[in-house]
Amino acid sequence: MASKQKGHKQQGDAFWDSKQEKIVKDWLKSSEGRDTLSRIMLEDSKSSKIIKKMNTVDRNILIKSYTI
Amino acid sequence: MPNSKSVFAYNKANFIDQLHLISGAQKNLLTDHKPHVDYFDGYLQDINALTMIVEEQYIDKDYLEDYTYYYVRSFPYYKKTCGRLHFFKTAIDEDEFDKFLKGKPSAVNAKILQNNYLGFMVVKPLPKTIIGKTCLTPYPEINRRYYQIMRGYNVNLFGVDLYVESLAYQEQDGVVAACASIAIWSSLHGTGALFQHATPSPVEITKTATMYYPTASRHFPESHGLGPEQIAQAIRKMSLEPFYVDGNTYENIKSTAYAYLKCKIPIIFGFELHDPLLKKEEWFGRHAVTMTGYSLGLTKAKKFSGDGLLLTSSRIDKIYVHDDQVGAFAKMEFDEKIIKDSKKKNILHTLSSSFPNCIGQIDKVRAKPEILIIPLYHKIRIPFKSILLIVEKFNNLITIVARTLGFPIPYIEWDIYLSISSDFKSDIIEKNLIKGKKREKILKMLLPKYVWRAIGKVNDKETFEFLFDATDLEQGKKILLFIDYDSKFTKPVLGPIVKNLPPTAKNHPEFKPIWDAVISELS
Repeated sequence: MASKQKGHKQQGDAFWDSKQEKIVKDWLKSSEGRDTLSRIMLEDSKSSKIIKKMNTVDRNILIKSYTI
Repeated sequence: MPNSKSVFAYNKANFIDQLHLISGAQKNLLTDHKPHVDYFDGYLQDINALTMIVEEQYIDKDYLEDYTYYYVRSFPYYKKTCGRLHFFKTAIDEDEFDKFLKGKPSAVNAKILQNNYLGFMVVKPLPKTIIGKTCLTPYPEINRRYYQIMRGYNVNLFGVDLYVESLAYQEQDGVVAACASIAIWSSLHGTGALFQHATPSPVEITKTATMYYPTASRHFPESHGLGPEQIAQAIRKMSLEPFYVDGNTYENIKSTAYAYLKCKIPIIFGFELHDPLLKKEEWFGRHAVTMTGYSLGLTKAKKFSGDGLLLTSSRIDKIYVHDDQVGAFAKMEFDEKIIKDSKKKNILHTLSSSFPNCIGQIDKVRAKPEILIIPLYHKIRIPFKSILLIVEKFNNLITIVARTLGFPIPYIEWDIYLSISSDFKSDIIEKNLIKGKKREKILKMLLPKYVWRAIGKVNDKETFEFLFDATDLEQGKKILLFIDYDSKFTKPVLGPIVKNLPPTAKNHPEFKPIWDAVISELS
């Protein structure tokens, strides 16, 4: 149902109107919407997995010195 | 031989003459074997230096510390005083300057000197490593170029008070300090002004760094440099916390550098150097520099790891560093060149460098980034990563809802950085995006000293902002405020999503305070 509306507005157009607001509300109340949202909240995306490793200390580097 | 005059037109020949006369270094070393001379000559010409005034004898605190610890006990005689060169962007006549010093009517006065002052360079009386503490005004900040780590230096030249905004630079002597000690020294000049601590000399930094992590061999004369743990120890000594970030990708470097540099916190950047001309030993060593600024030269933001959020920091095309082997505010470029090592292995994510190669050419040596170490005030507890994870999840949620329902996807560019809360309030006044009671409430609000700002921009316009407490516990709620700058976007787009979240999302322990802040602002 909702996917039929794909592409009807482009980036730079005015953003969502009241009709779309209702569609969002209905979808969020549907089981599909609930499941999708729950998955986003609970699962790590590809980029969040990378972000989590940002402060990982590389033991191979610790033993080397900056000398030049 | 002493100078008979102190005012010179600025040009390369006069610059080299003065370096030679003050330091005693051989002229051919300065002309043929010291890349700093060419670098600083080019730099001084770019910032329009027209006059150089020579202070033949100057006592430099950092040099004196190094001298006391090491040079004084050498058999040859090394002077304990340095010289200092001052640069001005106007032509100054020597006779007029003489009259000014003698108290006679003159075209030169203190105001003219200050208005045209470009900074100074201390010249050390050593055979080779002669560039001492150097504070020069940076290149002009144009739209894309930002030098974040600047502080004021008060200077007195023959009784005239002068002032320059810069960050101190000097080259290593290779005796009491190698590159890492000097990178720490420049960084501590930045944090000293920001977090109020004294600035130790290079020899004190090396001693502190190696005190608890000694190596099997001697530390003086310096030949081993410093490892990451030793760098961290030197930072701890100043009651600051060393914060380690893996520098193995462009994204890590750009996003982290931007987030902390914007709060005027310098970063120690360590990398490995590659010279293809050296063949077998092409990876010829590791080098550390101080990050001082960046250029936002790319017009479009890129998605984090290909599918994630758009960060303003991804528009960085260059960083500016104090590189003790090159010069002050030297550029390193994220030019996306892939290099092959001798084993034909592709090395990604290298940066350009002005480090001279084995035959003295610049811009040929590549830098493979390894680490970032950030000296932080202990109350800055919440790391950038935590804020990025929250924003990433929020961005993902908006994008997936829009994509699934076929609505125009709001391309939100996220500007995420650490800030002092007083700077945040000044920014609210300066940008003037909100008015009335809401603005008054924010300006009067008691905030922690350090805050994380995550500003959502739509079509280059600041549309909303999350403000987080940078001093909170990791398990705390962190969010301080959600600010709606443009209700045309926030009300129809964010409102319906956040208000109608299913319980799993709505009551998620980490995100509930965030939804509450959004709902409170939008209702």
